[in-house]
Amino acid sequence: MSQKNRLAQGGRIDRNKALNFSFAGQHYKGYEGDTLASALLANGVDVVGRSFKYSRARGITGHGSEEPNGVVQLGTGDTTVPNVRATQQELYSGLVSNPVAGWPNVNFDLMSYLGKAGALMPPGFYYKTFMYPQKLWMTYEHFIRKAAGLGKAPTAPDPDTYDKFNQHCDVMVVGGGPAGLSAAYAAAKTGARVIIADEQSEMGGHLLTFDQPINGGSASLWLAEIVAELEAMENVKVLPKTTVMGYFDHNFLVAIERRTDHLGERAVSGTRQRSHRIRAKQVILAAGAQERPLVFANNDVPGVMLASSVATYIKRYAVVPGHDLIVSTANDSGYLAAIEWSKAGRHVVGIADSRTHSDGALVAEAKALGINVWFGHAVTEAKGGHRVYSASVAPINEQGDKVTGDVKQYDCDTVATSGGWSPVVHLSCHTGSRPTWSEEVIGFVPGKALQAQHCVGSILGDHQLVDCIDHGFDVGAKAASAAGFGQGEVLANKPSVERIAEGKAQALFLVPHKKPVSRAPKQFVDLQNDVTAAGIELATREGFESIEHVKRYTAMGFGTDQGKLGNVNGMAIAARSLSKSIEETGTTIFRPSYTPSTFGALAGRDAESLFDPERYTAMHQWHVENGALFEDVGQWKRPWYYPKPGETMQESLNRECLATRNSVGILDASTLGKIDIQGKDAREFLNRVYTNAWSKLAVGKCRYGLMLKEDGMIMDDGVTSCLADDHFILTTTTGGAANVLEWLELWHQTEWPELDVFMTSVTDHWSTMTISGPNARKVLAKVCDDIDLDKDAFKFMDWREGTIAGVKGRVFRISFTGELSYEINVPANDGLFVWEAVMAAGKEFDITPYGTETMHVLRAEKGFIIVGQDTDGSVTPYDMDMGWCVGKNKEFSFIGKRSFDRPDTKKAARKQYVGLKTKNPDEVLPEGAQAVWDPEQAIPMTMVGHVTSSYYSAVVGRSIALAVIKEGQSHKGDTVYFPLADGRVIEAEICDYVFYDPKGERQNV
Amino acid sequence: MSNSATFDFSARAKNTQGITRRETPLHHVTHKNVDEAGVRFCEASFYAHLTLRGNPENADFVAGVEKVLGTALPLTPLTSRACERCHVFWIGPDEWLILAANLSPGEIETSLRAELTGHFSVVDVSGGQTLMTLSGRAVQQVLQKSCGYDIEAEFPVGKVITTHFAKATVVLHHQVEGSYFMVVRRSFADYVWRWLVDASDEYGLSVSE
Repeated sequence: MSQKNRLAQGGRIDRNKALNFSFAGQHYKGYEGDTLASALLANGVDVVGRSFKYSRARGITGHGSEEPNGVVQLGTGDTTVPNVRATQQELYSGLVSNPVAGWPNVNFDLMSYLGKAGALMPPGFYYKTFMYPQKLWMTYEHFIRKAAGLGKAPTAPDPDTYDKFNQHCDVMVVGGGPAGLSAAYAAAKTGARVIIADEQSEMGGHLLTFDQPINGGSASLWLAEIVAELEAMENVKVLPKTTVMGYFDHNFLVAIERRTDHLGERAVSGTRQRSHRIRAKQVILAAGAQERPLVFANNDVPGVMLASSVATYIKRYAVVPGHDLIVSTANDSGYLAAIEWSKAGRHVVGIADSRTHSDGALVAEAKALGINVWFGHAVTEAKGGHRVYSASVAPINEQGDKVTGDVKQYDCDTVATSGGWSPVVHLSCHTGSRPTWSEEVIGFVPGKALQAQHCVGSILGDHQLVDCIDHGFDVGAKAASAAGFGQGEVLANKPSVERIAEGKAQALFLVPHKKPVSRAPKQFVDLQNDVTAAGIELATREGFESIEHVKRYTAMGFGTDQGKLGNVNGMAIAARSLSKSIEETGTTIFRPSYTPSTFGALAGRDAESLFDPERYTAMHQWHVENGALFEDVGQWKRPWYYPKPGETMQESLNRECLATRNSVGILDASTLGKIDIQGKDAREFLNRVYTNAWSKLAVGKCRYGLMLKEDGMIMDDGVTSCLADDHFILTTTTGGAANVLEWLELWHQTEWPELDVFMTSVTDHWSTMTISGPNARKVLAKVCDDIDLDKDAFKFMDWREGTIAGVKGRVFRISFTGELSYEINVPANDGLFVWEAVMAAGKEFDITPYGTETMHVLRAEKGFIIVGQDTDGSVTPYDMDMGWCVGKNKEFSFIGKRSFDRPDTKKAARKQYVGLKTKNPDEVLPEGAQAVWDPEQAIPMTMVGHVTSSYYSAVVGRSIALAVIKEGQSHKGDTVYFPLADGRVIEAEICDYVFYDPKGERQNV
Repeated sequence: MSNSATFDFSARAKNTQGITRRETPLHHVTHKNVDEAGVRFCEASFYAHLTLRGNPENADFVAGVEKVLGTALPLTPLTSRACERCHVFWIGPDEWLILAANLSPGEIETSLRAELTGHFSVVDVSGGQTLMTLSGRAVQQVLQKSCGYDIEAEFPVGKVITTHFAKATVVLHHQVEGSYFMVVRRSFADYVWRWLVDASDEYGLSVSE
């Protein structure tokens, strides 16, 4: 198909660069510089989609982010993007696009038969019709959503990359039209750091459509100069193709730059989109205004467009989207469409101007071109299905609410309308500021600025170019001054622009029809969501008086366009229906994102393996080489177990456990939190943060400690060793390390600043390896000759300084397995070397590396708790049968002590820590299984506790479990039942929580 | 339960010295250098890193530290001092980080303990962190991708900040014009490296010993 609507000359397109593209399976040609929408219009494509509810044919209406109909599925496969506005998508070679709505296809649509029965689908139709039976809603919803057809998300991972960039500036300018460019220029001249962003492919805004002379020359010349000058300034960043999607607290804005979307579906190299996280001292909103259509009967038929869009397609893209035009307008700016249309050599049937008169320059120009102007008239109805073929033009009264005479039919294929201009208040709304209605502007303008924010240009209703530029310079200088640059004076020559004579605009929203609203053909307010004037009136009749309720009931503004075109008209119609003013009715407000943003741009590079830090120990390389599987513990990757070829997980665990019990095993324990504590009051500090007493711990000794929160519940545990009288090293759980240090600092800094103590994290400094088992001493002896390892010289719970494999370090004789056990600590730079030396020394004893899972089994066999597994923040030391660890005679209190006196903490019927043996020794209880005394009782059963840890123990030869059971300590020997979700009931006997070596002899050998 | 470590086993023998063998936190990574790289990276191996804590209002403490280190303690927040022997960074109102290329941490700790009296703490953290240096014409862009701090305007030469690099906490120091020191905890080094490689990709990265 040829580009039948393309002009031979003009436009900001490159006719030497033809581009092939497809829409709905048809192939077309466009030019570089086109948007998908302009290229479709150039090719005479009328229908681009089907409407949401009534499935009516829809064509392109606008030319920017406000477009409700030209919403397409761009691309295919992994890189497909749903709901792209064809008006904003730059054309590239090979572009593939499809309509998002319209099932099964746009030209023949099943749903439209439902639409023909339109009266059967009033607002709230779905709520009212598909309410019963409730359980079928999911089924209904599936088909309703399929019929609604709002694009499809890709099903495969996105192959492109997106990233984030932190930007700081003194002045942020949103919008690159004449006002924004002037403001940016004036601000930049003071030396302030300036960022200016605009969502279009090039800066210029309305100047790209309306070439009014500046400095006596062409506006596009001035535009090219000022943009070039801004780009050349070192203190300015010019960001075209960049949508400021959100304006947040503290002048923080997020702007998404589309870096390669104009080049192809796939970013061949580099970042597809970049999310600029901008922190600005001052913000200037120069976002402009969007034209508002008039609401009249069948105003959704393809060929009905915004007047400014018609002018833009002609001027910017050299596309005249039809042959015979009728304009319906309530202001002067609508005339521009007719003027450009006429200049392009096509036929203007006439301009229906709802006003009684206008002396504006554009009106005069139109008349001079010989165009018919019908004052006091409006288009009341369009006729057509897939394209407009005629329009009804009728005289209306001065108030704009009644047809006063005969309706005339005129043949035409395009109706351009202008109901006025709605300032783009969205970003100002993001800050929480409610926009206010201005009778003068006939639109909502930004409300009171809540942040360091300025507005300039048509966002304030200033549509004259001279005002945009003049005020732009002033506001730019003022904002720079507020950011500390200049005295607020404009340090540049303002260009001279003539003021254009303008007739007063009329506040017209809904054009009257011969028939009342409820009887007239559909008068669409929100084209994307099929909200009609009748629907809004119905909503108000049904009692929805708040505009927020009307919005939700009718779905007005809920589309991907967020009601950019329709909302103001909808509010005006609701206001009239409620006999209130628009001001009294108020407005809904806008939230981020201004236009839909892709998740990729929000995630940036924080994805996949860079999503979260993965922390490694110094020995990680060895674990990888030796086949370890890893477990996430906080951000750490810890070896989970080391399977040998052909082994099941349980076989690996059995092997690792038995090797440790019978000879020697080795664990990388480097991830345990380690805090160095120095100062003369270190001992007293420990007394206060731990439950047990530290006053008498001698140098060279270690002690287990329990830490509680203020509520008396266990928070962390670990072994603390006395290095010197005023120097200790405290260990924490792996996951608790950072929290414990913060906790200690909090108490020190806020409650006990008088204690002389300094704490420093040394978690990463020390590599820690635990060798455990009857042969542990023999292994250690081979790599360490300067510590007396004799069992009486170096006792259980002692530590010694010494040299391990030639490296100075510390050895702690502590045990989490119940076996003879040494924890070797060396500086982490030496960690891997020492680990390898220990492995070599242990070879003759078949030293076996084990991971966290075996560690869990070994300690469970001994009944040692793991904080966070066997405890959950709701158990006291007494609940865990650890009263032995609570100091009774400490001078000063300790954190949590007072809470022991709470009635709930003191009561007898608390859950208590016990062991469990299943009746069937091979059956392993699921962790988290709930305990009941009587499995025959009716659901909901009375639950008396739950399993906290559960394993198969090779050394015991059966399954073992740990649990908390209500008054469990006094129920030893009793049977308890675990009804599972799959219907099984597992029977177990309550027993002591120590399953192996109950006297604890093995660790003392 | 994943293992996405980027370990390169062939790099194992690097940094071998003496009888024992030490490895820096990034000993395992390799990189193919790009010509005309916009970002230059180096892991400054085996510096002495010590955390010093004490009361800045205690004149004896301040004088004693200066005597041992050969440079005064930086007492103004976010500043640093350097001399031939070492760099000293202000970390907090009562905390400093000492970095030294040619002194052993033990030596520094012993000298400080011999000189200082009263309440102070000195802790060797040399194994727990590593020093990375970043420079090149695109270094600022890489930092902008990674940190929220205003590197462009609020980070003059000499300044030290504790901030984030992607999701890792780091100490960042503008050492000489266009060249930065970044101190990273050992366990985060691989993550920081992988982030850096990714962020530098569009500018080209070159790594030196």
